[in-house]
Amino acid sequence: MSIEQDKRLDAALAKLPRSIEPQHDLWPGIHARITQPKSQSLRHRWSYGFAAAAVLVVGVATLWISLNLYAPAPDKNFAEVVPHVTPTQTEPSGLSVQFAAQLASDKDIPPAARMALVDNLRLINDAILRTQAAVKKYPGDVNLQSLLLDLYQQEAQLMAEAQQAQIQTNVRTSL
Amino acid sequence: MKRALIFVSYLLLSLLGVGILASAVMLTASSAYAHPVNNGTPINETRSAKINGSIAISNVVGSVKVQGWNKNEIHVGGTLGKGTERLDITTSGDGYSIRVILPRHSDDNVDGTDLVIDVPIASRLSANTVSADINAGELNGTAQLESVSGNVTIKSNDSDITAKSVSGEVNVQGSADGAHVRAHSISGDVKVDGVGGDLQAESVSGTAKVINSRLSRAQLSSTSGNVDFTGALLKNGSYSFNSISGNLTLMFLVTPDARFDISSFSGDINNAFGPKAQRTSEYAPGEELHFVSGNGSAQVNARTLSGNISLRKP
Repeated sequence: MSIEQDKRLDAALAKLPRSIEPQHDLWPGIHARITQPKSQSLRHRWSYGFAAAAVLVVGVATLWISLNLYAPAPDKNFAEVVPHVTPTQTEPSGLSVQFAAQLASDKDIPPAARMALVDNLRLINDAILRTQAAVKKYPGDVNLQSLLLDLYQQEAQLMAEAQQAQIQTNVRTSL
Repeated sequence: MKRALIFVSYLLLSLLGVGILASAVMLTASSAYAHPVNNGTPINETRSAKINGSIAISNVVGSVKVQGWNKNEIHVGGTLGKGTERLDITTSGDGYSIRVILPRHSDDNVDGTDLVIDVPIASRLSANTVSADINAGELNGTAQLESVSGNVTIKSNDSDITAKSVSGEVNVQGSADGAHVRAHSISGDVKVDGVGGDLQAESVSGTAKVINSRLSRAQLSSTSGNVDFTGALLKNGSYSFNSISGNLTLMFLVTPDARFDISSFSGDINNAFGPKAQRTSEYAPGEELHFVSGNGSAQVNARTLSGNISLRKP
């Protein structure tokens, strides 16, 4: 290398800055992350939270599936069984109509018994309607009133019997 | 804070473990002890028993036959149906519980189990079935027999009898004097023969029929079925017969000693023991009949909406 070249190099070196300033100060951010452990634990908290939620979801789902895996599906024949107990004429005994609908969808009860319960609930309903009509026409007839009271009791009793039958048949699946 | 989170996580994991374990147990409970039964496996089990202990029987499909005998033991015979999981005979209180256990999700793949059970004659019997007939005999304790769609028959000298079915027939033959008897069916017929004491016999759409009774108190009713009573009335007895559209036929073997209060809203009333029924009102269709036969010691009430009422001699 010649003396001339050395001089040019020295001049170029002399033009270089003594120090280099970063474009912006990164240190405050780094300092904050180091000195604020809470921000770090927050991340862990989220992780724990997600893990706990996942565990809970999996647990609940497992239980739910196991409990409902073999639950009886709604009776597809429901519409065929119920129509004759759901006409508007059964308004006075809406509860029994609902109950009949519920019975009709209970596949655990033997079909013969199920039909007997639904049909006889309808029968009592019809009898109640007839007797109510008679009582309305002859409000002073105590015998009619007594018959009507008996029918209400029979209706309640039949629903109780039906529930008993449901319990009896459901024992099969709970054993 | 971190420890708390770890603790909560462990807690949740533990709950998950318990949940999975419980689910697994529930899913496999039947198979854990499963001993699938081959077709018609015979049963032959004997246990010592108290003379008046309790016997509780449960069967879903098939039949149950119970017979009283003079031994202080129970014997369970019959056959387990194909697909049945097992037969449980366990002590329960002062007696035994006999249960036919089906696989949890057996659907229709299980044949009926026929149980033939001998029990001490004074046993307190209860039997529950779904689609299995119940037949009990030669007993003098108490009996509570219930089936959903099976027939229920009891022939006994029991003092307290309950026989019920939803769609099956109910037959009660005999009882102790002064017994409490309840026979009930929803769509099946109810027949009671030779019972004494207090009787309640009901059917909604079936017939309620009582013969050869020695009843001091009776309540017979049906909604659309007929009610037939044949027997004598006891002194100071109380008898009630009701139907909506079914007919009431009351046949008294001897001239009754009773006060009668009979009414029907639109049915006819026929009386073989005295006065004829009267119209209740010029404008109403109903008939009533009130009269006294003999000294009138017993009380008879009979009511229908549209059914006919007949008081008959043999």
